[in-house]
Amino acid sequence: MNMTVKVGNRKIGNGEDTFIVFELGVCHEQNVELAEHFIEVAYKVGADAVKVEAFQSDELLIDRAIEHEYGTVKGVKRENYYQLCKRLELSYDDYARLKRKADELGILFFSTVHNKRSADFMESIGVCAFKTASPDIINYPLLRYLAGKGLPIFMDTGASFMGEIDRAVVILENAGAKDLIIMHNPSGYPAPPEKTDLRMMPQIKNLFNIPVGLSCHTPGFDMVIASVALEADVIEKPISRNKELESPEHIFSFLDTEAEEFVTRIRTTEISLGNNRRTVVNEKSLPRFIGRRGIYAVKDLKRGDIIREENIVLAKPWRGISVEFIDDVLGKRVRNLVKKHKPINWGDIE
Amino acid sequence: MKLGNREVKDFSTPYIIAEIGANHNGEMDLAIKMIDAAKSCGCDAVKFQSWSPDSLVAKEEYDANQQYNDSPKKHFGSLKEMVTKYYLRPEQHRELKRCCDKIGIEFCSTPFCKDEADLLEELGVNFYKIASMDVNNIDLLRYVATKRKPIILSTGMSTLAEIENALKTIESVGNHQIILLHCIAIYPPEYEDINLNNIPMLRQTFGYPIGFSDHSIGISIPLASVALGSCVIEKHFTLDKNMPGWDHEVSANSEEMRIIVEESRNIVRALGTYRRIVGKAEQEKKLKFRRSVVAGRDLEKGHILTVEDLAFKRPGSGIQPDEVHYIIGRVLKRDVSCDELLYWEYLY
Repeated sequence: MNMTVKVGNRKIGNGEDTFIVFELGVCHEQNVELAEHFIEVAYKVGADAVKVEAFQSDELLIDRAIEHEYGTVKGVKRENYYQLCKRLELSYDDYARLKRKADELGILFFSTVHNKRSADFMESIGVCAFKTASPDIINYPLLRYLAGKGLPIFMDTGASFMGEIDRAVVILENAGAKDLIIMHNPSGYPAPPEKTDLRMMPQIKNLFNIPVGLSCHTPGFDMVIASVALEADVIEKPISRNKELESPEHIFSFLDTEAEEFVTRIRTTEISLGNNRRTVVNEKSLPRFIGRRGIYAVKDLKRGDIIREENIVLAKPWRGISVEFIDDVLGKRVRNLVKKHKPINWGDIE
Repeated sequence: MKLGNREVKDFSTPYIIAEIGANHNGEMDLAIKMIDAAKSCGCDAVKFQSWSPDSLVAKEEYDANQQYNDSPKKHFGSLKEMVTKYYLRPEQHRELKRCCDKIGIEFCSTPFCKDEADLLEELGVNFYKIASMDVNNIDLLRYVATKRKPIILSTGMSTLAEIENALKTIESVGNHQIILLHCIAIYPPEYEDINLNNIPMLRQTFGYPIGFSDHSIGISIPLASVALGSCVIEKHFTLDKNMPGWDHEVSANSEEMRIIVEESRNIVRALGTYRRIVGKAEQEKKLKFRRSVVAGRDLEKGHILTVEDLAFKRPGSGIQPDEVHYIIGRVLKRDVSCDELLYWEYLY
């Protein structure tokens, strides 16, 4: 597996800039124009990619009576799962249209795929990568099929144990996958902080030596910023135009009007991480010169005077002998006259 | 975590278990001699294996006369004959436990079925060892976990998922006293297959103390594990590597075991702090080993010092080489002959 993964023209991992993904999956209100708007926003604010969900409910769900529940700003909502999926899906034509939009603007486009058909379709329209959903971490036939395609794979790991992640990685590896990014997604509607385990990200990175990312399922930007500080290589979060809609994922989305702030905060955080060691201090800089101190005479010091604490002051700015050498100066005899409020230089003392 | 009355912790003096296993060859005299020898090497515990002909091997395997390695000197007869000769009867367990108590070394053993765990419980063992082969023996793991005593779990042949499942099983009955042993279940393994880096990985992934069950030949690898913070070392033990029987060849003899015990203590002492400290001994050494500013040639009183006048030589008790820019351009108060150290008092 590669430590650095190339997705389109962008490299991910190993010190590269955080790869920022705007998730268009289920917050588009089944409105392809709105999804196009989100792609425009993503392009405008400098996100790296947009991602869609390719599920077709009729292919996935056997029991159409089952109910699902999800969090909204107004509380947990229950809804028939099939009907819910139906009202969140777009058609393959819509996805093709969104891909054209992304191409026109020049922003990367990929999709979560759920079976061979959606994988083949997404491959045919030229996605730059595949994503697998959390429940598919044990869908070994799908993992093997995707590995055979040769495109990079973003693998969600929500609700998985470390052992399950390990097993999926081994299966992908044995099926020939070279480019894998493991996405940590704290699950829940939304994910509660105490079950977020952001520390799994550096641990996963150490274990497999491949890029890791966060699929953010928590309202606000706290988890995003913390993950960047933990050196996540990818950040993905849903974009919407209304967090209060009674529909999944809106509760932990960011608004199109917050998109710029989202990107800026990630970029600021990653730049701020810097080095383990200071290498950027300018030793001659004004703050260092003004803030540090020299040793000054409080009255005229004449030849032969002994320097004592009473006749000096440690004051700003740093001129003459630096305060750090005070122990070498105290008790010394003055050789040249030092006028009141003038700094003491090495040549002034014996 | 306590094993008996000994506190066990990563990056501390490791708890050393002399694995007698089947190296007693079914002879009680030999077993007792081995306990004495392990004690005199400074080991914390001796370990036995409590399997019996019925608890471990199926009829099919006996009929096939499975051999677990290809060295002729390890086998004297059929698998059935060996197992029957080597297994420890309950009364032998009792005798060995008494012997350990008498000389003051911990007795421990690996149970391979519930009855054997019950026997060990009745003997009053302070902790249990579970073998690598039983990492996925969920029923046995859960049963032993309910004894509410520390469990040392070997992890040879196991994937991360299997280790995680084993831990979840033990934790599910409320037992969190677990030590994982990194282990490669090959006798001996190739160096390339030992992956000692798994020791910090297991620690970081699961958060339990990590030890090392060693099957390599010699002493380097278990000692290296101590540098990675291993809190337990389990090593097969023999009085004579040439003795016929299963594991003698890959075991440490008394001489090696003594080295492991002593050197592991030294390694722990030597790990020290992450923070950089110049100790007292080195500070004193610095005065001799570093250099000072000396006159590079004879210099006269009143001379203005230039770089060309100076050299840097031992000892380090004078003006330091990195202070030289403070003396360039200053005037000598006195004559200084070639190679003489300069002092601040010599300068105007």
